[in-house]
Amino acid sequence: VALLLADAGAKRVLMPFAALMEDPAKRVAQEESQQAGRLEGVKARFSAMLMTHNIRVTLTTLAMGMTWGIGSIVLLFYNGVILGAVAGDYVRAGQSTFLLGWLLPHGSVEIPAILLGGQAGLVLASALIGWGDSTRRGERMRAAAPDVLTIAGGAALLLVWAGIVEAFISQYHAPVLPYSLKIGFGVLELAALAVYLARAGRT
Amino acid sequence: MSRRERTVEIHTPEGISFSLTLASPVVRFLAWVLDAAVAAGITAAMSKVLELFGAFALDVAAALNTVAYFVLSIGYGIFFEWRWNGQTPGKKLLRLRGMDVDGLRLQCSQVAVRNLLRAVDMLPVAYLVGGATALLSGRSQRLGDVAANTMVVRLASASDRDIEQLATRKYNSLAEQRPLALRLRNHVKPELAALAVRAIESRERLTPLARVAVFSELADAFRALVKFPEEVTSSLTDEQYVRNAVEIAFGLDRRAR
Repeated sequence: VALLLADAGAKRVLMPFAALMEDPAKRVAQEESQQAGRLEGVKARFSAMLMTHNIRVTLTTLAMGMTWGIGSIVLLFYNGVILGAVAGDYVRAGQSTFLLGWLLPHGSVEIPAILLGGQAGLVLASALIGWGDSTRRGERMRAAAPDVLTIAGGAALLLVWAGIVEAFISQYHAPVLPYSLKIGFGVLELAALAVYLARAGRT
Repeated sequence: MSRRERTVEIHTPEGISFSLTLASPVVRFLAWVLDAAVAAGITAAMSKVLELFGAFALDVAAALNTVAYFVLSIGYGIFFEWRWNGQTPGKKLLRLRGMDVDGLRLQCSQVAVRNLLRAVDMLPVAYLVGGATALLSGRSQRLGDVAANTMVVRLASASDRDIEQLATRKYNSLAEQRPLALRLRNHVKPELAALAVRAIESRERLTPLARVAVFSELADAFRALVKFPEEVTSSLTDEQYVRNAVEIAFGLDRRAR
């Protein structure tokens, strides 16, 4: 975000989609006037593309754990930078409500899911490195496998949900869907996920 | 087979040692190319079917196509290695098998881990990371193999020529029991068959005592697979039993006649 504030040219490098190169205020006006037309007839396709792409990214983040965790951390950081750049751009333009309503319904599930992928990668990495652990590497990896697979499966399920929400809910803006409803829905999801993760895994 | 091929020694708790030949990264890459071709064929077939379905619901068909392609690309290796005991169509054609580093059968979780971690081994292109890791690893492991404690070996190191020479062209009383012989052939593990071949090849170099012990153990292993009727087996020594079983395992009992 700081980079974006300092250098307008950085926006061209950082933004992942062409649509994000526009002026945020203009985009918001455009999106709100369109209502539901833009994705009509391609929503299922869009949803499928989102979930498969996101699961691929998450699995890559997980697999990167085998680079002693370095790759996982780099990928998480890279995704964070992009998200921060987009968010910073919209916040600066005074479009915070649109931003939250746009990102929260799916982001509150999607972002934790990729973080979980990174966590699974770090579980692999710590088994690989085995700091302060005297057992053999093979045994450490064997012990880590069930956790890694459970987290990967959970993250994949979350991303299926996030893909559906992103295609069928997130892309509708006020006046079709009020922002309060979208933001409330996102916060609710985040709370439910937090409660679940806090309780899960206890025996 | 060249002597430069890498092998791995396995020592079982029962005090038996045997060596397995590791598959080189190049052979494994070829197997992967074959698998990619098979997967592409399946994808094309699925697309055709979904195209027909698309006449009714274009959007849903396109979505299913995306999901199906994804599931296939992730699930192909997992499905086959799970159902075919460590083999995919490509591995089967090139006579490779994925197994535990202790020579055991792959467990489901191992299959899942080694296939999910293809995401890192395939980087940056054409499995360069995996290939480089395999060259540096003592067991020719890519990163997914390291994580899952697995390795890929070449099956039945004895070449066809060696096995042909083993055919005695003598009367094979076990082969007369067609249904049981077929059962033996289907159930025998390539590792056991290969071990028996090596025992037969090197039988003259064993001391008499070792020779009796080795063939007794091998015969027991074959007997545990399929039970032949007493009247067929009672006149056979352990060594004859193993020879007959090997002939059946490699289908030489039919070719010899």
